[in-house]
Amino acid sequence: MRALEEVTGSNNDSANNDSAICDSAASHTAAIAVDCAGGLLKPSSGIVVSGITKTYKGGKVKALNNLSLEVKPGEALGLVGPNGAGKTTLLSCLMGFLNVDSGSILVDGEAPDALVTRRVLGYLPERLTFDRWMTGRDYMQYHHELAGMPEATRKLDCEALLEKVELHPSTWSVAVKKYSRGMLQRLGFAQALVGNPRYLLLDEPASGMDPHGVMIVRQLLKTLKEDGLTILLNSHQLDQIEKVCDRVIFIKSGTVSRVEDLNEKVEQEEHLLIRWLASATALSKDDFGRVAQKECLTITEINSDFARVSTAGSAATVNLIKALVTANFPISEVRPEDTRLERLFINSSQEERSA
Amino acid sequence: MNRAVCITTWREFKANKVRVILLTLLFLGPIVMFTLQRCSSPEALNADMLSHPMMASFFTLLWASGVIGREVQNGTIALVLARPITIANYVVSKWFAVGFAASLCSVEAVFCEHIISAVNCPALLWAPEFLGNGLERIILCFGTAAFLVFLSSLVSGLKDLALLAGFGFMFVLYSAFAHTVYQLTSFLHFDNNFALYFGRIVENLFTAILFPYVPMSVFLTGSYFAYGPVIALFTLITFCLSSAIWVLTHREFSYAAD
Repeated sequence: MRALEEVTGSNNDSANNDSAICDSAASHTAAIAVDCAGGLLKPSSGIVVSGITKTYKGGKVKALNNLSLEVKPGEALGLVGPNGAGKTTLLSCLMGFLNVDSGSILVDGEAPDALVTRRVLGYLPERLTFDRWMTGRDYMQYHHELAGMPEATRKLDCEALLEKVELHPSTWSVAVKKYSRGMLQRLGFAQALVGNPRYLLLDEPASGMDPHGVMIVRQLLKTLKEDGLTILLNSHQLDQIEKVCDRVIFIKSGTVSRVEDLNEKVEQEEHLLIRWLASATALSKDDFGRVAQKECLTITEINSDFARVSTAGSAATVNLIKALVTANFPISEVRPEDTRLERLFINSSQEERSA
Repeated sequence: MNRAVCITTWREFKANKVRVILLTLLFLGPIVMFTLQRCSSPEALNADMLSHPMMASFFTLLWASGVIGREVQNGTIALVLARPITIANYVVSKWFAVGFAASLCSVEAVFCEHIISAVNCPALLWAPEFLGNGLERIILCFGTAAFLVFLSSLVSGLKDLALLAGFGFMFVLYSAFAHTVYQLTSFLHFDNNFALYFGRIVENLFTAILFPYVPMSVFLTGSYFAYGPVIALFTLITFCLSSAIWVLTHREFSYAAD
């Protein structure tokens, strides 16, 4: 656990005070931070990636091409792109596993492979590998010790993290080789949280998890974001990114092709599925068609009890529902057929194809 | 030195049944042979009766093969190095873990031989040969461990064993070549002093790397002749560990698809 102390705060407090501060540490953007391992941490200034290029096979394969981005402290940034776009390579560069050919990466103003940077980074790779002979608890305690965390709190800290990812206590003492894919992913997530990192780099965190696991990860990400953690999330689950992230970056062929602020309200076409109780009314699909025509909607499919429509935006959707209710249409369900991010992704793919 | 890395190295060895069985055989084999020797001749003790300190090299080989390479192959090294631990610390911890464990095993083996001797012939309880043999083993373990850690840092998995075999083969090949050159120059009545000395230097180099042996009987007398092996040992350890650190520092680890 990291102890955070404001410069103006009680800097002269004894070591006994540290653990209390550790527990209460919620803000990861404090002016000056001291971690429990005793190292001084710099103020959080985010991640700055400036024009990095990374090639493989002697320059034949360009994984990242003059890529620049900035992640502000406390921000959750999503990475979206097709397979082979360079997302995992970018995360590997940010972790300092790969050396970039040109450009620079700064995490809190330090190089990614600096010890002080490693102290503030938590990483979950997509294809995480384990020492399969270890138990889940061993694995956590091993990383807890590697992170330089105090031995006194090791057992409690590790168990708290395992509980956080809802890994059942009966599995903690079981060898990792007996874990299912979802359990391994949960253990990996818990490992990423060891040492109370300031930045969390997640590569497909819900990969291989059951629906319950996916929900846990989503909830966990929201909680961590509220706690002030800076999150860089690479996921193909666009709904997950949309629910957690503030911004999303589209990466294609190693470059940033688009940046989207998800907190910004944007009026764009919406695709809806509307169902009604056909047996409960004398109104027919023709009546629905008339209402839709009045509201200037495009009907893509219509049946006796459901219709698929496109509206100009959320305002048009509200007007449509109002009009249907006024016309006594017994609507049972109105559901968006795709999310904003999905539409953006589809649109950008279509634009690329047409280009 | 990182305690977590050391303990995990030892625990990983314990989890590998094949290695544990090989270690047991390596431990018991010389003791059984020694017991038979002692039972047939309980009075005298000479250096030939004790198992050779070179046994320590086999213990080290068992402990050190793939010590870093396995982590590279499994992909676990990246997450370890993502923690606030320097590569130098990691390499030195691995070296110490391997050297210490191999030393402990090989010294235990000598200790067992000592007990058997003392039971057969109580006068041998304070025989200094055992102490000398034990110290030579410890030095051998740490010297060989440094070389094996270096080999393991170069490759993944257990390929360091292939590198070691290749190195040994080169030694044999070179010895044969040097011998042939010496014989040829002698036959042709050429001045073969250069060939002779060059051959010896290279042979000594190979020996110092593969078998970093410091004769304790000479060293404990304070003789100048012991300085050479001691300097060679420290040079070997420093060179091998520095090289392993350099290799890992310049190595890239990625979870990205090939």
